[in-house]
Amino acid sequence: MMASTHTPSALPSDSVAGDVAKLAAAAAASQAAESAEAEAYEKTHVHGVYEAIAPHFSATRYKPWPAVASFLQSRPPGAVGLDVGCGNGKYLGLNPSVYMVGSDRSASLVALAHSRGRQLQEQQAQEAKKRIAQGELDATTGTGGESSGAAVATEVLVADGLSLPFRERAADFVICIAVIHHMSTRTRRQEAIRHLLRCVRTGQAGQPGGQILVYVWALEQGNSRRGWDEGGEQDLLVPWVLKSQQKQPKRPKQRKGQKRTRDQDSSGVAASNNSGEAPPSEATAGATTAATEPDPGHTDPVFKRYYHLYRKGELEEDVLAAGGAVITSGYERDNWWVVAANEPLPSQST
Amino acid sequence: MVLLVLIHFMISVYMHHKTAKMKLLTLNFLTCAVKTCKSSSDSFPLHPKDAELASDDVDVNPELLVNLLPRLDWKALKTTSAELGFPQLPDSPPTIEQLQSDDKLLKDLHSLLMETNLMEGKLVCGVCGHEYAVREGIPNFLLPSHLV
Repeated sequence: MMASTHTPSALPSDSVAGDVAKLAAAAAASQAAESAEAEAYEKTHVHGVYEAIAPHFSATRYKPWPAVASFLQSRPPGAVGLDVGCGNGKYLGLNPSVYMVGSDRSASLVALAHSRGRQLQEQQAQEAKKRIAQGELDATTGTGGESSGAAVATEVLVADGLSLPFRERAADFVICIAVIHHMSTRTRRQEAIRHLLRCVRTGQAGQPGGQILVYVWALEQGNSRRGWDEGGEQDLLVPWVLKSQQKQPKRPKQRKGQKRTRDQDSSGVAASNNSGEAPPSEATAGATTAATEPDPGHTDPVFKRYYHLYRKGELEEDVLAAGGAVITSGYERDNWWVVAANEPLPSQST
Repeated sequence: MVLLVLIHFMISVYMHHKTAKMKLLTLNFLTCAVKTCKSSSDSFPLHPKDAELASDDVDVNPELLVNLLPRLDWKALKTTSAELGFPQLPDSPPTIEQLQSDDKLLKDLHSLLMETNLMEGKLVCGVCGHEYAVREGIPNFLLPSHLV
């Protein structure tokens, strides 16, 4: 499949130029193969898993991260935002005065996000009607102070983070929460951040550019019971147990040699299902397929999701490599986060 | 014409009140997912095909609309609106002052952007011709492997 075998070269094959060309072709081919391999890997160990666990996963994802909530609340009214990897859409309606569009690789999660948004809309409509009935609203205009701007949480679509369908440089902000750590090579993680940056406006004289907020799982989780910490293995397969009933703890297996985790001798469910987001719930669900494996003695399927655990400073490095400028960054309960913009930095005021 | 559109909407509302949909405003922020198409201006906006529309009843939010105005690609909105058979929009967008002072203008724009929904159909790229399916208001932008 080498491209060089099909392209007759004017140069003798043993010339330096010929070798360089060959090397370049080989490098390109191996890069393409590597990327295809990474893609196939993620299909099994990320996308397939989310498709299968979507309802169960969604039931455990309802609490917004404080840093994400405060970022969203501080966006100006009328700002246009994207949520790349929106999952069940829990952030889409958080600030009713901005317009948000969510995307996710998992069609099942997008469908859940959509119906969740519809429910929110109907709830709000009913509450507004109630308030009108109670005479709290100015019935002549149909709008009232606190009700104006019902949350728009229905705008969702299915897309891959590395092939986003958003008009470039159009959004005021992008959030990408607990997504990039599912990409299995550093090149792909940086590429994903580059795609986010491409979605937001660039800064102009007197006008700050758009910002992205990225949230990833941290390697340094000294205070969590997962047992991961500085110096440990960063690339892991983390089990998700589709729990149908209370049962014995099970042994999670990891992709590579991984330092011992306390999951192995305590409840792997409670620890491992809490994937850097909301507290795990006792919700039950049923599903099949994807990266499961039979667990002798138990009937609950175990799904393994790939994670790259970010070490301190790595997220900022990836932002820089993607051509971004870090505005602020921090750590919040087992996660690293960063707010970044396109170079050059907006004139400092916000 | 306006009356026809109105009747069309009433029928749609009646038929599809509960089903899923995507606002026309969102279309103004969507383009082709294929990398090589993005550099061409013909990839935006995407062209609706076999579109089923529906109308929602949404409270007018003047502040949101006024703030959204400079974020719109007006030319693309004009194209989309024409392709869906709505009355022609002017060549250039209203100013913020016009929008704030003209109630009818505000309501018309609100109706087009916030209350008009795409439910079923396809979104077609003007460069590669790829058709993205829209089902129950959710477009699917996952690409077949030869387009990635």
